[in-house]
Amino acid sequence: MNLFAFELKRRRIAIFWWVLGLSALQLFMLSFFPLMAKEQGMMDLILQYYPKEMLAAFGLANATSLGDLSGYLIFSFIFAQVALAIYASMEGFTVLSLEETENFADFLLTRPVSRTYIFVIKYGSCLLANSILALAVIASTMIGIFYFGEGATITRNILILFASLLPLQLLFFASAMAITQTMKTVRSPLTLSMGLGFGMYMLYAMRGALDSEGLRYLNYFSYLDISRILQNEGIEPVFILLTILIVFGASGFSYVRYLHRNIVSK
Amino acid sequence: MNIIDIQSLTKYYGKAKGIESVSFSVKEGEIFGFIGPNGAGKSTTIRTLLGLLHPTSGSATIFNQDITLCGPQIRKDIGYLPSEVFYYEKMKVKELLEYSASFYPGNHKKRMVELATLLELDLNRRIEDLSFGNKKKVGIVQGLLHQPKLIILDEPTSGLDPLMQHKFFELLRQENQRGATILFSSHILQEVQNLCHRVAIIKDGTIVKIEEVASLRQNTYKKVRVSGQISEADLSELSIRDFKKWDHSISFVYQGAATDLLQVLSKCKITDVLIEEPTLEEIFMHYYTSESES
Repeated sequence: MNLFAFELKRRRIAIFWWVLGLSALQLFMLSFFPLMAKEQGMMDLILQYYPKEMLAAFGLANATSLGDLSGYLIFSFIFAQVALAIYASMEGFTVLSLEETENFADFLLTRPVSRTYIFVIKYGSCLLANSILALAVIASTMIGIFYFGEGATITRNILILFASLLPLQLLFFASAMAITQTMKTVRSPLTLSMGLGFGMYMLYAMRGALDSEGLRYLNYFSYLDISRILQNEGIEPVFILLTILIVFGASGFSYVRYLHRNIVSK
Repeated sequence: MNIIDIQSLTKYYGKAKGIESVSFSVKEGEIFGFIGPNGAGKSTTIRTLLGLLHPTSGSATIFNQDITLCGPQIRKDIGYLPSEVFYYEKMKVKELLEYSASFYPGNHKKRMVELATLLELDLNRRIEDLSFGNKKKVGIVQGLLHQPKLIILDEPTSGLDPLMQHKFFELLRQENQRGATILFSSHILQEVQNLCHRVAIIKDGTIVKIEEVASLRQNTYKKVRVSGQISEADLSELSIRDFKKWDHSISFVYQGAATDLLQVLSKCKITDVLIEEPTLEEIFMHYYTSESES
């Protein structure tokens, strides 16, 4: 068993449950769409009475309607995005630090492999795990649209949304990994992941409610903004550039720090 | 040929000293003891050699290859047993050992079973269900299964019962006879005394003495106990220390030729003499105290 197989085997149960949970979430959320489409007029009327800031917080300020598939996805798809962000953060907070936290580092780092090899393999296994989850969300969303979409089709905007999932995950993964390389030990990766995922979502919601331009740069959900993508505004080039810079910058920083990290005995 | 060659190796953790200017060599086929109390710098030296720590200054080679440049190549031929053993708790012993073996070229299944049988280790148990002693056995097997040319042991016997320690030492002797070089770190001097050819004594991160175990014991100090009419003044010509006096006997540690000692004693009315070799512990403490005094 090589390191890559070992890394995948180690997280296979977690991947299974996350795939199951995310798929169920997507199908559950989309199963309400026929009702929304049927009662479109009433839903639109209800939403008119909601405060504008509250609708903006959910990305619905300019949405056409909850009875429209794009409008409904703006509301429902963000939950999958937050879940994917939390999983990606979990991977980031544990990928390089798990061995040290659990005291296995001596075992792995005294094998005849370089730290570069370990970094690349671990990075690759996380990339694959995140891709599997993204594919599960995409597949379940497509199945959901097929069964509950009331005849709606997969539009170009929805395909862009699907394509933005992995970059969004990588933003969280790379950032979390970089954070661990500035810490001595990572005691509670789940808490940190939830903090990063929900924290960024709160900033995203606040950005919408406050209509703050500055907050757009401080949360990753705004970089690949579901609301803008589905309302045909696409992804702004500056945020594509920021995404690339952060993912490569944080990954490079983590790599250099990992190469020079001292593994002290417990 | 030197298997390990360390030159002025220094490691600081921020401002805290780990080791400073550590230099010694381990020859091919040698069992080299590395002794010192906890916190003296033994593990820091070993972990730097293995690439777990990055040296602040100095250099070291293993198999004539620089430890900072050729770590992966060097580690192909190293078997390492850390002082504290931690493994993936959910794995079975067999899975962990197979995983460990997969990093080394060749098939090591037969050797794995041989070692596990010798050490009475159940391969089908989960790591989390093992006692500390059994985890240590897992460590021994994973360290030796690829028949390394250099075996590095950091406090290897903690957790092993005396019978298992005996088996372990026999195993190490066999590995040594096969041609393996061994770096054996311990604070239990008896172990080093029984197993090693040479020994380095480390104190506060600095090497205090490097000597052959045999000459360390034979050529340095004798413990002397004399009964009869004798006082400290009678021994003024001799180099002695740790003088103690009882009602009818004295004891001291003597350094020098045995004939000089016997000449002095022959001038006194003595009834009994006991001259003993000091234990390595006493020699060790001697180096510690004399270094502190200087």
